[in-house]
Amino acid sequence: MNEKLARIGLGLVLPAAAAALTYVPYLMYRNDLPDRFATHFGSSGPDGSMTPGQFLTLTTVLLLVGIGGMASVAVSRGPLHPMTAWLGGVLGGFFAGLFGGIFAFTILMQHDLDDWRQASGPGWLILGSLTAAVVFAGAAGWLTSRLPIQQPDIPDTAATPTMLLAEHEHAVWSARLHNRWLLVIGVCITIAGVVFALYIQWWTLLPMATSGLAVLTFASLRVRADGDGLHVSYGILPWPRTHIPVNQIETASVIDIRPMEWGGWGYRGSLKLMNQAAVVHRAGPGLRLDLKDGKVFAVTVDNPETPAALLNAEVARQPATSS
Amino acid sequence: MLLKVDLGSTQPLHEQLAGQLRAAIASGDPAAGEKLPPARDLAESLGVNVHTLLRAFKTLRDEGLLEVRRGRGTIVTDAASQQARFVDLARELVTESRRSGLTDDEIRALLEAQL
Repeated sequence: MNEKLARIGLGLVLPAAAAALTYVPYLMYRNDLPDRFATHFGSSGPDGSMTPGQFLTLTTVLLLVGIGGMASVAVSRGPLHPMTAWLGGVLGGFFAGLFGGIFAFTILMQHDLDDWRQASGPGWLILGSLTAAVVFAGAAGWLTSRLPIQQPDIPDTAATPTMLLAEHEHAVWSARLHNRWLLVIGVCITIAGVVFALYIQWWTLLPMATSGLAVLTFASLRVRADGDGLHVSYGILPWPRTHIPVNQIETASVIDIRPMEWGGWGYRGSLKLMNQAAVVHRAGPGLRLDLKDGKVFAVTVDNPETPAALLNAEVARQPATSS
Repeated sequence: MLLKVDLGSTQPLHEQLAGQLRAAIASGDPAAGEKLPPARDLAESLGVNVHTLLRAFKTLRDEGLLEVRRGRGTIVTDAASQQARFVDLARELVTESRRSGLTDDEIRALLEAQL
């Protein structure tokens, strides 16, 4: 898909799809709507409502924010800043899908109710709107990746060390990285999620615990370089993991990671979707891998010289046929 | 932490590994209190049997450099980086002395005289 089509997709097709998702159910049932929609749910059922007009206005505003994000990426000139690409493209799509989905599923589920208090719990609503959000975010992210995105500075060759490895010599380098702040934040969010779930609404546990666990997962990293390539594992869980085989690596180098250049903290970008991914844990030294297919992977580690040297040595002794 | 092992060398693998670990600890990476990566992962990366690596861990545990805690993994002891340096120096002394023809008894006497 070329750049122009991607811009049309992101600026017109996806916004139109989000608008259709949002407004088609509304238009279908517009003569037959209840006085109020249940829009807030407590442990004993719906406990908050809006008139169709209020709900429509609120949704339209939020939808426009999401569409605006995608459209601003679509009309941008010159290479995109990765942060803009992430916020505008991916989060814009997520926003549009989520709020469009909430509105659409609420109408589909509640249009034939006599009283909003009879509305059933938000389980399907959450599932449906999150699915819509993920689909839109994925599509928007994929389209965004077709646009030119600013590359972080390419390191000079002095930053690509190597080491001597004898013919039968095997080497492994391994490091751990902990970010105490992320650990604290992750624990706080998770605890807050549990407390909210106990005292307010059970389903708040879902987003809170998920984001808490996601933060906790990224609070500690284990990075290992060996003859097999680079392995990154996150947190204490066996999954997710990243493995970059040595035969996919072109060069390994030492870089200075500035989080804003890579789109912030955490796992940024996507190797499959955006040709570039970085595990950014802090600002400072990091290891950058330029892959043979032109993709870039980076991870923050202390003393990246050693893993860079090791991987370059392993790349050098790969049989030439593998390229 | 960087570990290397030469599968073509005549020196036994577990000795090579113990030496590499000792040198790594003496250099401060891994630091005192730090947990070593799972032995299974390291062994797999190095292409050695996990028992060979565990044997090296055991040697360093006996030297007081590592502490093996059940369920918590293998941890570098607080005294380790100092200790590792002395163990390294002692090894060097023994190797060099033997190479220059000293018997083990003479080396013992040499050390004894310094105490």
